[in-house]
Amino acid sequence: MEEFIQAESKDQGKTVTFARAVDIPRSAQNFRFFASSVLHHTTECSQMDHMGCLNYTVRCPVGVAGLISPWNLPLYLLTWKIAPAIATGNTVVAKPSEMTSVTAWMMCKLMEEAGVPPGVVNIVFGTGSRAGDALVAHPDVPLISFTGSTATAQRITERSAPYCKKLSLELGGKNPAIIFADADLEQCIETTVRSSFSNQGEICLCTSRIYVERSIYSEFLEKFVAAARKWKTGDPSDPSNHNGALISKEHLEKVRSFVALAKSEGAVIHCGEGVDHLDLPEPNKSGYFMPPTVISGISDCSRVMQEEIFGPVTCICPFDTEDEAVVRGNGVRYGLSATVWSRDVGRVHRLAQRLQAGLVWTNCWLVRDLNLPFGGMKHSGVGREGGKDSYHFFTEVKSITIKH
Amino acid sequence: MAQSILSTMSRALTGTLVVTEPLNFWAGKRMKPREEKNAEPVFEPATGRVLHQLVPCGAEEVDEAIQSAHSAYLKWSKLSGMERARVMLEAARITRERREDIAKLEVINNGKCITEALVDIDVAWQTMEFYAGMAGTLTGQHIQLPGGAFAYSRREPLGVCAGIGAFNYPFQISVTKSAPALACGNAMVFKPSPMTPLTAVIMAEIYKEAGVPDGLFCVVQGGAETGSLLCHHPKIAKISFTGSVPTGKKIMEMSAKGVKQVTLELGGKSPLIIFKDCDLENAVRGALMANFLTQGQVCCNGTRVFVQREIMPPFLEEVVKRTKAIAVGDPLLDSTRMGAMISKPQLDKALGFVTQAKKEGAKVLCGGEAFVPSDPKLKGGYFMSPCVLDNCRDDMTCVKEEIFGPVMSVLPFDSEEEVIQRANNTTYGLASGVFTRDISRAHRVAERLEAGTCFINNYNNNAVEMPFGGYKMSGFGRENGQVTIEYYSQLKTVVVELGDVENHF
Repeated sequence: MEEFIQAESKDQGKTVTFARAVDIPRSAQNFRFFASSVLHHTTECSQMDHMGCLNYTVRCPVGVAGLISPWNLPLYLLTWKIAPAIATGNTVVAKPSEMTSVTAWMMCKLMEEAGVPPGVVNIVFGTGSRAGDALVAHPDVPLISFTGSTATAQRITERSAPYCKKLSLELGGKNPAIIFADADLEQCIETTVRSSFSNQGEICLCTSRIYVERSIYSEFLEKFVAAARKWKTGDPSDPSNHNGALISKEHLEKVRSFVALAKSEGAVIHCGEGVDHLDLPEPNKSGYFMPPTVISGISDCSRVMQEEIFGPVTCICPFDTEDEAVVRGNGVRYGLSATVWSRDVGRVHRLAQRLQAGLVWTNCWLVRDLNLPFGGMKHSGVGREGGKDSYHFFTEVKSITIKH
Repeated sequence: MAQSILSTMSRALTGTLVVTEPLNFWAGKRMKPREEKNAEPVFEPATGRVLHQLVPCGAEEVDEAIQSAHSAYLKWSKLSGMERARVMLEAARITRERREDIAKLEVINNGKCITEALVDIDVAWQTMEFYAGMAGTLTGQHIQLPGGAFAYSRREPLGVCAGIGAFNYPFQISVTKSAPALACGNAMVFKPSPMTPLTAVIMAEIYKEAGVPDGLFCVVQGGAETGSLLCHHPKIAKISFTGSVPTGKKIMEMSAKGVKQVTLELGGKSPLIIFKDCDLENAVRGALMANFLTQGQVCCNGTRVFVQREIMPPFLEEVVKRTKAIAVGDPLLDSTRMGAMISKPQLDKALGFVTQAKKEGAKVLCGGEAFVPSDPKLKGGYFMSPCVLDNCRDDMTCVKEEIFGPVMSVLPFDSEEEVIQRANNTTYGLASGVFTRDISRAHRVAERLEAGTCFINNYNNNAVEMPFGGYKMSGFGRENGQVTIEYYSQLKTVVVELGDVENHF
């Protein structure tokens, strides 16, 4: 485990702490979960006695599953696809992100050790435009599971269209947190700092728009900024740091440009980029680090509030009514996740049911029952994965009628 | 025949109906018992008048009904789910068409107000539609086995099922039991409470009109002896019973002899817990809903109302004000909200509980007395003014035992931990309720209460889509919801070998 943890941190930029707490344990758990859940699926059977017919369904593997995984949670998201694919009897050709291929490579050796027959799990290393493209357009790969950007998903859909491939696309998000005056403020702030900045903000489920009921807005803003300042950024191997480095120079520039854009639009940057100085040790000075950045006074239609930034940047705005919060929360083309903070039982359920998101967390974040469907609405994706949903995605169903 | 009784209902008035038609139904028609003996009067609760002399069915009649049910079952179970569904939907439609007349007949026999009875009839046809919808969807499973064999399961009917109804929801219970039974391909022989025999036979006639084979839904009238005959009959596969705990125990004992399946919907002394952070208006309404429908004669009523001490004074003030304002009177009037109790003995029993409560130190804040409405024709009726008891303690009789009348016992509490322990401290476990705005408390309390249903921020808003039934001595098995299908069918596993038998020997 420890080798994987160190490798993932070095390759991706995340802290060793995060890799140890989240990435690597989840990777192992993915295999265990699907190994167990595949034992418990049944299909259906119906009788038409009046016609002397018996109907039943069977599910069969599709063949070769094409899997493409991203650079933010490399092994975690790769194994989340490999496990259900092979558990249901398929073989796999997987292409991890060219930016984070190390733990995938290490996993191959473990596959051998575990006794996976040669040819069942195959990993190809390369770029999206070459290796990825070849995989997606290959006529003998009937199914693609992809996690990454909405833009790449569009490409994949176009390239695979002539072959009518089954697609599962887990894309970006612009996830809102909606915070009412009756929220448990301390718990809320602690969790929302985590949901905004974990893994350098490079999780599709991160909170990037925070709507706060006006009566507590000032208090929330002040306390949130203070808490964000305590979220330390620095050398990923230092256990006292909460954040490590962003994935690349290009990505860091992209995230910085959103902050600059906000500034140019007259928004207020309360902490982080351009406001606070990051004190980095000498060896890290040219690394891709950025401190947690909190913005307010930004319009809902700004690109900063509409497009996925995928960095340690979050925007805070006040709202007055529940209806307004719902409309603004839903007012983006994404729909992956949302969090609601309130102690009122009626309100919590109402909001959860009205928000256009594939996952809604109330009074918490990133609590995962792997049995339940995971995926996004609108531009956040197509299809769902999870216990039953992955079983359905990675198999073909056949209805058989026996006349007797 | 049914048309004649139902068609007079449009002109029906309290104190006018006399029923002479036979109320049993099998082999597709109304039937009289062989001998007119052991007749018991059936009363109109609002006036105390005799509506009918009910002759109970004996062994021969019960056997005849069951035989006709059995031959109907053989035909009905061969139909596809969709064909059964079509007939059931037609029965639902006819019921909906005649809802007002059926409701009036129900009011005359049961004493509940017409507003409630109309809801009961609506629930009945909705239940028929719900289970009709399921009839075509009953599936088993296909299970892949290692090595080239597989198993599949078939859901098959049980045969002839017996349903024994209660007096509080006569028509509705006949449908709550027959709809899932028929959807699964069974036949049913139904015995209503001898106090409320009038409306189940209407259901039998509607089923016939809708096109069920003769005998599929039979009605046998009678009391304990008739019930016992059903429980002992070899062709009865299962008994579904709604009623009291003592009778439920007897049903279980009798059924044990034939190893018959049993589901029991029994009594309750359900807790309704009102926290200080509730919406008080809704909590008051909830407490009224939990205690005063059908004259308090509801198994799942929240009759122990625990109120957090800080809000007890405003709660009591409001609940007493509204309880006093409940319009008790002629149940056929649209403006009435509470009718008469089912019988003189039940009325006396409920009044007795109030007297006992006073002796034990409870304070009557309103009601709790026999009520004589101003209308002279109602003077023989079994009316009781709805009662709120304050200053109650956990050890009082009125707090421990099911009263089955319009009596709300209010008890103060301080902490969540304490009230949950007190709420669960009963051998019953039918329903429960909690009023609070707090999301954590609402779900935490629901998780900890030992009851088959927990209402959050409402009470008694049951729906056919959700399973209903008890914990502990309130019974077992469920009614309503999809799960009820499991109680009216049996599972057969078929194992198919595609290869060779192991050469073990």
